Amino acid sequence: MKRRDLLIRAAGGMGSAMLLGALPTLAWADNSACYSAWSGSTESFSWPKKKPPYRIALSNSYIGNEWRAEMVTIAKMYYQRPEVKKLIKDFRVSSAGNDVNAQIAQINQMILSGVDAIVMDAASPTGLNSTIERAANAGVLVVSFDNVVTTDKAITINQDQFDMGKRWADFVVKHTGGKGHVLVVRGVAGTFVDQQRYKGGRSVFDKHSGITTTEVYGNWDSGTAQKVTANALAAGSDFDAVWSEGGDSGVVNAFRQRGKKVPPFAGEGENGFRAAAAKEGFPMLSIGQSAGLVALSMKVALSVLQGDKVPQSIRSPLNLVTNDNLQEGKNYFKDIPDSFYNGVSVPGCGLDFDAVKVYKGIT
Amino acid sequence: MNTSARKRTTALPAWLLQGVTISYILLIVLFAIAAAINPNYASWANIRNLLQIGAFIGVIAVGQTMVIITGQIDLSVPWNLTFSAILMATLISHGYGTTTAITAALISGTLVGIFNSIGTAIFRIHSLVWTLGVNALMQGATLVYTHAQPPKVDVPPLVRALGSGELYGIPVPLMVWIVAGAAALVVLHRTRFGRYLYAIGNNESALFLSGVDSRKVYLGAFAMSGFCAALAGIMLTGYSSQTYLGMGSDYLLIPIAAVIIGGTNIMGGSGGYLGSISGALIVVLLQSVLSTMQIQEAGKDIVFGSIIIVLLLLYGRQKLSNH
Repeated sequence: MKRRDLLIRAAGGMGSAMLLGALPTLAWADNSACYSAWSGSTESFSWPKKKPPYRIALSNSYIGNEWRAEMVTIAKMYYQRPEVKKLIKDFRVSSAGNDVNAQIAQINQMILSGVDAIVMDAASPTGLNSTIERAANAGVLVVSFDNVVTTDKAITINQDQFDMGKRWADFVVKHTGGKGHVLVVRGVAGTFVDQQRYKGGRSVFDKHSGITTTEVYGNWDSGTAQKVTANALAAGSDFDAVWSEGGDSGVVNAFRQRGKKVPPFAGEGENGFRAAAAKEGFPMLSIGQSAGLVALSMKVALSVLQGDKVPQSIRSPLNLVTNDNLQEGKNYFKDIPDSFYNGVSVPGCGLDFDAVKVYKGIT
Repeated sequence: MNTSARKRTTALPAWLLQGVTISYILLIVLFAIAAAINPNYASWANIRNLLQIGAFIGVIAVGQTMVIITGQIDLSVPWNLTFSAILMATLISHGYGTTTAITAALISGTLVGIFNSIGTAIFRIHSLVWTLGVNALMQGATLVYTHAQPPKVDVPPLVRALGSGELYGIPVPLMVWIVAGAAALVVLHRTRFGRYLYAIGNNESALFLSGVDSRKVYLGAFAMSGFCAALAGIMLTGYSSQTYLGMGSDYLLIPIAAVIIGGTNIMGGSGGYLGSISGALIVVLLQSVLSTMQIQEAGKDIVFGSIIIVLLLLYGRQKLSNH
C-alpha cells in the first residue's frame, strides 16, 4: 500500500512538474483544486528561474504547542518524498520562539548562508517585513504561511480565518433556527486569527436578532477553555449552541462535568473534540487550520523557483468535517491524544499525510 | 501624647491594615458585588466551581508562599508542572501503575525544586533569573522528551478524581487544597522551619550568624514549591482528562498574584498562607466575574492590574505603620 501510494505520488508530482515546465501559463489553472488566488485583485508573483537542487530553510517561531510540532514534522516528511528530495540539496528547520528579533536574526543568518528560499511561520505580521524585503533584494524567495506577513515581497499562503468563523456561525444559526443563547469561545486576545474568526462569526450573528452570545477567552488551550466554560455554566447560563475557536475538548469536558448535554458545536480540528462528537453524537462542525500548509508552502516555493507564476496571496480551501463524514482512522483517531490537531493534509494538492506518523514524529 | 493622637486620627486601626484582613474584606466585597449583579453567583453550584478551580492555584500557592516569604520567587512552575504531568502520563501509557506514576511525577517536581535551590543558595544567583532559566530548561526537556507530542493516555480514575471528582458533594481538588493548605499553615506557624523561612526573608545574615544553615531553608522552600507544582500538574491532568503542552501557561503569574494579593510581602519576611487562600479565591472570582460579565480581555487586565497596585499601596502603608 505504501509503495502504491509512493508511485501515485511520484507520478502525480512528476506529471504536474512536467506539465508546469512545458506550459507555465497553465500553472494557476492546474492547481485550482489545491489553491486559488486570495481575491480578484491578487497580483501574480514570479521569480527568476533557478536550476535545482535548492537550499531551503524553514523558519518557525513558536514551538510550545502541538500544532507547531506537527507542522515541523510534516515539513520533514514532505522533504523526504523522493520527488521533493531530488529538488532540494539542503533543508534546515529552525525555531526562533515567539520573538520577532530572534526570528529577524535567524532569517539574516539564513540569507548569509545562501539559501534559495525561506518558508516561514512568522512571529509578527508586520515586524519581519523589512527583513523579508532585504531577503528578496538578496535573491532569497520568502513564502509565509499560517501567521502570514503583510508585505507583498513574500508569497503568503493561508486558510481564510474570516470564512472559518462565518461557517461556524452559519452552522450555529442553522441548528438553533436563528434563536438562542450561544457560547462564544475566543482564542488569544489581540491576535489576527482571533480577530478574523470573530469578525466572521459576528458578521452572521449580527444578522439574527434572536441570537444572544456569551463570550469567553479560551486561549486555544483546552485547560483554559474548560475553566472559562465551567465559569459560564456555573454562573447559571444555559447554551443552545457553541461557537469555539479552539481548546474544544476542554469545552466538551466542562459540559460533561456539569452533567449537561453538549449542544450543537462548531469548533476547530482537535482529535478529542471530534472523538467526543463521534461518541456522543452531538451535532458538530469541525474546521481545522491545516498543519499541512507548510508542505503546500514548500511545494509552491519549489515550483516558483523552477519558474512558475503563482498568485502573490494564496488561499488554501477549508477542510470541513461534520457528523456525516466523521470517520475513525480518517479524520479522528483512537490512538492519538485529544490535543492533536487533525488537520495534517491539504486535500487536492497531493499533500496527504498519515496522522499517526505525524503524531509519532516519524519522518 | 501628641503623636498618638495624630496616629489615631490619620492612620487606620492596625488590624485593618493587615494584608490578610484587607484581602478577606476585598473577597467579601467582590463576592457581594458579583452576587448582586448575578444572583446565581451565590449558588452552591457556582461556589463549588470556584473552589474547584481555585484549588489548582491554591496548591501551587502553598509552595510559592514559602518561597516568597524567603524573599525569593519560583518562576519554573509552568514547565515543571507540565513536565511532571507528562512524565506521569507517559509512565501510565507504558503500563506502570497509577501510584508509581504519581510518585514519579511528585519526585520529579521536587527534584526540579531542589535544583532551583542549588542555584539560589549555593551559586547565589537570584531566583528571578535562575528559576526562569530552569523553566526554559524544563520546556526544552519536555519538548525533546515528547518530541512535542504528549502521550495518548486514558487518565486513570484516581487522577481523574484528584482533578474533578466529588466525595459527599465536595470536590476532591478542594479537599486536596484543604489538606495542603492546613499543612502549610502548620509548617509556617508551628515549626522551626517555618520560623526560619520568615527569618531568612527578613535578614539572612542574622539567621546564618545564629547558626542556621540557610541553604537548607532555601532547599526546603523550593523543594516544596516543586512538589506543589507537580501535584497541581497531576490535578490538572485529572481536570482536563489529558496532558498537553500548554497546561502550565496559566500558572506562572496567577499564583504569584494570589500570594501578593493575600498580603505576603514580595520582598520576603512577612505574610502567610492564610492570605494566599483569599488571594487565590479573589483571583478565580475576578476571572470568572469579569469573563461572564462580558468585559473584554483588555478590560480584565486593567481591573486585575489596578487591584494589585491598590493593594500594594495599602500594604506599603501597613509596612510603614509597623516600623
